[in-house]
Formats: sequence, C-alpha cells, structure tokens
Amino acid sequence: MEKNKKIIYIAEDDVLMIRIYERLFKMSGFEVEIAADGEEAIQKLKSLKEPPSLFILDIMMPKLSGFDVLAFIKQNQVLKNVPVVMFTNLSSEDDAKKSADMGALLYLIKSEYSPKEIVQKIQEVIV
Amino acid sequence: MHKTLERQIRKFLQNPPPSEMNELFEAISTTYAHFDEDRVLTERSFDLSSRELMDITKKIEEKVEIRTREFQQEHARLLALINNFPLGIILIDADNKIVVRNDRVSSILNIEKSNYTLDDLVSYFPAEAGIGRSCSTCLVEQKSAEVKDISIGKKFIRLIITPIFAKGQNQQAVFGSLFIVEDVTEQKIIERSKDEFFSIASHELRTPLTAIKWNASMLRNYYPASGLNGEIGQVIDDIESASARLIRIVNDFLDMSHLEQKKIKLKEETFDLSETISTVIAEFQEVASRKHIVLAVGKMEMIPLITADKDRFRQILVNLIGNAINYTHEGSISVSLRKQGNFAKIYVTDTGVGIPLKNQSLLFRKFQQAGESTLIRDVSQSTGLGLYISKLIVERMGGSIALEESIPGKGSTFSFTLPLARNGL
Repeated sequence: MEKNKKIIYIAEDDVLMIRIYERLFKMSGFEVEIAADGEEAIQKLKSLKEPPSLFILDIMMPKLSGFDVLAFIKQNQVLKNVPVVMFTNLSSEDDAKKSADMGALLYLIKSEYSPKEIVQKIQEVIV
Repeated sequence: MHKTLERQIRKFLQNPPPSEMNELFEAISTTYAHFDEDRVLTERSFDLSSRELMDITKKIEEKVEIRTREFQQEHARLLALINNFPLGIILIDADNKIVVRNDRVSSILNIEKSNYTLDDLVSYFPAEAGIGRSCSTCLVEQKSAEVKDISIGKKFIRLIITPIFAKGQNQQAVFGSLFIVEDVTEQKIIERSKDEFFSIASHELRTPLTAIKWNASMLRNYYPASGLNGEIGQVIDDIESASARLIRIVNDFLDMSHLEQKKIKLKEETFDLSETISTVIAEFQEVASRKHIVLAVGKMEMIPLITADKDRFRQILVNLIGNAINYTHEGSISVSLRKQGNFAKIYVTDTGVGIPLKNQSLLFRKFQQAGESTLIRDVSQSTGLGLYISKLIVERMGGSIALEESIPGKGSTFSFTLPLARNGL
C-alpha cells in the first residue's frame, strides 16, 4: 500500500459491491482493505499492523454480522476510536438505533446515495 | 221446620217449645234453609269453577309444553352455534361465574377446571394484559373492550369483552358479560413472515440495483469522457435512471409494509412548515422548468412552529408535488398553507389533466392510478403506492389527506392536514 494514503477497511460480502468500493475509493485517493465476511474481518483485524482511518461495515454478512465486527472494534483499545460507518441496504430504524448505540458514526443505506455522495460522506468523517 | 233445627231443639228442650218461640224457630229454620241453598249453589259454583279451572290449566299446560319445546329447540340451536363457533365464547353471569363455555375456549386457553370464575379467567392472562381492568371498564361504561396481542406461551390471543344487559324503564341492568376469545397466532406469524420477506427481499433487490446504479454513475463521473457522449452516454443515463426507479419501487414496497404493520416510529422535530415547503419547492424547480411549468409558493398563513416528523412531512409533500408535476403538461403548480382550527392545512394545486369523477374513489388505494384506463397507466412515473403511503403517514401523524377538487382538463387540488398540537404523534 502507498504510504500516507488513508486506509478504508471494508467488510462486505457482495462481490459486485467489493469491486465498486475498490474502484471508487481508489479513484478518490484512498487505499482499501477488504474482508469478505464478518469472521474474516475480525481475523484480519487481529493481525493488522496499524489501524485504518475508517471502517465501512456491511450489516448482513455470512458467519458474523456487521454488528459483531462493530462490537469487536469498540472493545479493542487500538481500534475503538476509528470512525465506523455502517453501510447497508436494510432500512431498519431498529438497526439504525442499534448502530448509534454501539458507537457507529453513520448508518447509510447504500441505494439512497450516489457514489459521489458516499465519497463526500466518507471525507467528512475519516480521520 | 228444618230437621237439623228440630233435632237440636228436641235435644236441648225437654218439653215441647212454647208457642212464643215458634216465630223465632221459624226464622232460624228459614236461615238454615237458606244456608242449605247457598251451600248447594256454592258447591255448584265450585264444581263449575273447578271444571273451568281445569280447562284453563290444561290450556296453560299445553302452552307451556309448546313453549318448552320451542325453548329447547332454541337452546339446542344456540348451543350448536356456540359449540361450533370458530372463536372461543365464555358467558359469565352476574355472580361472575362462568355459565357457558364452548369447546374452542378449551383448545385456545387450555382451561380444564369446570367451575371457573371470572377471577380465575382474569388471572390466567398475564398481568400486563390488564384483563381485570378492561372487564371493570366494560361493565362500568357498559361498552365493549378489546385487548389485542396477548402473549401466552407461544400463542397470541385477542379478547373482546362485552357487557350483557337488559333495558329496563329508566336504566340498563348488567347481568353478566361475554368474552370472545380469538387465537391470532397464525396471523402474527404471517405478519412477521411478511415483514421478514419484505426486509430480505428489499435487501436482496437493492444490492444488485445499487451496483447497477453506482456503476452507471461512475462511468459518467469517474472515467474519461471519451466515448460516453451521445448515444452511449444516453444508454448509461438510462441504465442509471432505470435502476434508480427500481430502487424507488422497492423502497415504496418496504415503506408500505412497515406503515401497514405500524412499525414506523415517528420522530419529533420542531420546524417551520412554510420554510420546509419552500425548500421542497426549490428542489423541484429544475424538474418543473424542464416541463415549462411554473412551480410557486402560494398563500402562506402565519403558523407557529410545529412539532412533528419533518422527514415524513417532506415525504408527503414530495409525493403530492411530484404527482402534480407528472400530471401537469402546461401551466402552474402552487403550494399554500392555512390554519384550520387546530390543524395546519397544506394545499397543492395544479393545472394538470385532472381526474375523472368515476376514478376519484380509487385515489388513496394501493396500486391505483386515477387515469382514464388501466391500459394507459403511466408506469414510468409511479408504482401507484405514493398516495396510499402518504395517507398511511398522514393518518399516523394524526391528520388527514384528501382530494379537494379535480376537474378533467382543468386541474386538481390535493390537501393534507397536520395537528398543531403534539397529539398527532
């Protein structure tokens, strides 16, 4: 990875969306680290050398959900202060509240935003 | 002389009676004779009355027999109805004892005890269901009470409690109560399944649709422009707008499902109605000007700040203005605001195609568009859910929505109200 570029750590199981994120965020000047399910996301985090600048977590994933990953992040002393954005196509008010209660900064429904708007949102919250 | 009298006198007088006593004895004799006559008459009367009485009694007995038979038949019919009724029925008398209970009650509530009382029945249900309170209210106010979604184990029960009373001259006397018990577990499962289906389906549909929309958008905005003008550019725009439309359809279905099941929680926010209306109008200006329609703010009465769900208010307004733009090909659209009692009333008036009278009753129903014919539905514009969803939202907020007026060829005015007090939430 290029140094000095901010790293976005993404947990997402949909192959189409993974490719889009890689293209979109790289073109927007970020580095991207991808995990294809909740379990892989946590495993990779355990061996991460430095914390990313932002987490993007899908909620509905195989093995472990985005909430499981969020709980792990918030319990980790090194990772807990990294901003987390929950990215989903589930529009559930309960999930939105749960995300906020668990410490996520944003709860975004992917289908409601354009790629440009997503990049703008990310730039507003990334450390 | 009356024989009885003669005998009695001989008995008491040793000597024959003196002649002065004859008149007296004659009178007494006459009295005895009259007594005999009366006795005979009385006996004859009794005899007659007895026969009449027997006739009457016989007739009464016959009538009683007929009525008893009719009552037994009626009772049998009623019992057959009660025992075969698909809902549980419990009849409680004035002493709070259960007098009638059909088989369905036993299968729903697993009540085995034979001499159940009202107190036993009330304590069968969880305390938080408040059955005791509902019973008291029902009897005191003499009107039915309904208690929904009572959870007992894996079952969901719905109860209707009704007082039984007879109307006297000046008042009604309550002499018992009726419980109707319904097992709504299956309905609840279906509701939950429907909700889960909609959530999962919408998620599964939205994900590939998002991929299509984002890829099309990225082609437009993140790749070199060469080759993307003209026809190819139009193709990309069509892909993006079609996917956006499909996403809106999915969102409408999900919104509708949540609203119908009352799963939407309204937020409270204090905001200025006229300011919000102006903001929404500004967002539609580009679309309106492309169609050469004038979109303007109409008369805005001074209304205090309102506390309501601002996003949902916007949603209703966006739907109405969006419809006005879709169905107006020339002229103007205006949005005005008035105070009507304890409500704020918003009007959206257009000079559009109008709605034929015969179609106006279809307006706020699901999947309806009030065009001339279903064959010429403008499916590119909407799912036919917008007004239905707006109605659900407005009513949830404590207001109402209506078509004020519509004249084909001239235009339409829609309106909706919101309570100014907090009661709407």
